[in-house]
Amino acid sequence: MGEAMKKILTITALIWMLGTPAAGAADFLGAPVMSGGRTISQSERELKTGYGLPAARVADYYHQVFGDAGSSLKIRERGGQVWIEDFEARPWHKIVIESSPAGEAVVTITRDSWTWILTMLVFRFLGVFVVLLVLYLALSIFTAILYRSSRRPAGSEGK
Amino acid sequence: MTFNEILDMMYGIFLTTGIAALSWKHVLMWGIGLVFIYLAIKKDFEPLLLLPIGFGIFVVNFPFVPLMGFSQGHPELIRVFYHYGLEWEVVPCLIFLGLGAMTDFGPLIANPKTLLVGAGAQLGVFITFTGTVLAGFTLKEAASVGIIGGADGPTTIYLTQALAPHLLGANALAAYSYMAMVPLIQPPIMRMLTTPEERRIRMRQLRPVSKLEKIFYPIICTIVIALLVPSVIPLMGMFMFGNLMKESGVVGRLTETAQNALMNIVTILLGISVGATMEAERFLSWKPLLIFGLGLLDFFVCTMGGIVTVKIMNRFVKEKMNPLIGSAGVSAVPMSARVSQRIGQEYDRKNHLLMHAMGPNLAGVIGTAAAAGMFIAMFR
Repeated sequence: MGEAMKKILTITALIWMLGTPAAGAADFLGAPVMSGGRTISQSERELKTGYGLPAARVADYYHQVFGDAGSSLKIRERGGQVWIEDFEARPWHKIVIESSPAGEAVVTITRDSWTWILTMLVFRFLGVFVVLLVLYLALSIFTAILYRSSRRPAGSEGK
Repeated sequence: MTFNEILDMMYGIFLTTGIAALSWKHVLMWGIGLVFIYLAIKKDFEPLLLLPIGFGIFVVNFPFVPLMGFSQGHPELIRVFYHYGLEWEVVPCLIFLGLGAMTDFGPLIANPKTLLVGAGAQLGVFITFTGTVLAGFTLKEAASVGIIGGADGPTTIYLTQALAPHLLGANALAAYSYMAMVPLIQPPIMRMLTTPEERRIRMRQLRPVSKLEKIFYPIICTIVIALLVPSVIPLMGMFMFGNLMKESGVVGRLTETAQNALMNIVTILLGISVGATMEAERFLSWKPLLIFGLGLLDFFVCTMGGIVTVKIMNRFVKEKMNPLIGSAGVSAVPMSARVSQRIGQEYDRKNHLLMHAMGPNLAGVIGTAAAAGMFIAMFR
């Protein structure tokens, strides 16, 4: 009976926690921080929090919180991590939810910074060069193959 | 019926006309629309686009006109064009199909290193992005404003519709206005960044390009773009499809339709829809005005980027290129290539740069699309 009660209380607490995502939640740089976690590390630039929950549960919480944020946020999955990136002028840039080797969810909230924007821009600009460079190489290789294959074999003249 | 009742009736009729609801904002927008119509008719600045855009601006800025709204839940005339053409991103892709069917990639295939000039000319896109963010725009808005410098109308519309549709009118108008003004904007920058000796550099005549190369080019380009920037393949895929139709020579009827009838229809729908997005309430605010300023800066930097790229490449290649062709790295096909030709001939009458400039010009189209693809991949 006691075990069953414990289970009911735990499930009720979990449902309450997930069902009322924003209520009473703390925040870091304006980004919501799910309650019930322990701070792993904190600096001006970054907050890392661990939760004794599966990463999927924590991701569900953030999906609910940001459900109405619309197109200003991009939520995507990358190699087992969930990335929530902000493209508005919010003070935070991204929230990354991942699973630690021990199976607990780790949430990292990172401050927005010009370093990120500028680095991203430089890479994207170089990316345009890469695209056109690859096209240049592909074109050059194709042209070379074409000319080589269309050249008459040596000594075939006059035959 | 009393006289007062007659007056009331007449007043009621008066209220159903647009006259009672006219404001100075409407009148100002008429002025802007008429300026575009004037530039198209009198100055011949991109008339195929500026005329419908100008008329779109003009006609939508009358009170109560049922053009861009919804009546009884149904979209009104231009709203229908806008919804299916632009919101569904159909028109820019069809324009690219037509452009592809009109394009000869020969100069680019003959001198493929000019592809890099098209990349260098995207410098302004990324610099303006930074400036736009600093000016208080969101990242998505900044990306859509930055692409204006690529001088490619359909790509600007495609990206803006994808990331910041509320800026569509202002961005499209800025892009097409500055494209029309390429002959005024670029020459001072070209003179500033080149020496008289550089402007006289003669380039070797381009080699002839075989039909097989021209047929394979759109296929190779599609493979590269689809693998590296898949988000922009609706535009570039249609561009290359149009070109393949042309170069294959086996679908003359389709090519002819894509070049003429289809292109003309979508140009009409595009122009009037873009113009009609510029209702006074939406346009007369600080953002569209700032977009025009930033767009001009963008054009400057993109032009500079192209010229500087050629100068850098000249340090490493055996056969020097004339840096004047660098300015054609912004798309604006073929106007910016013509500007290179004109400025080149001012210094050497016998120097024909047009075909050499077409390489970077076409590379600019691909470069701008690649930049747009980068932004879409990031933000959408």
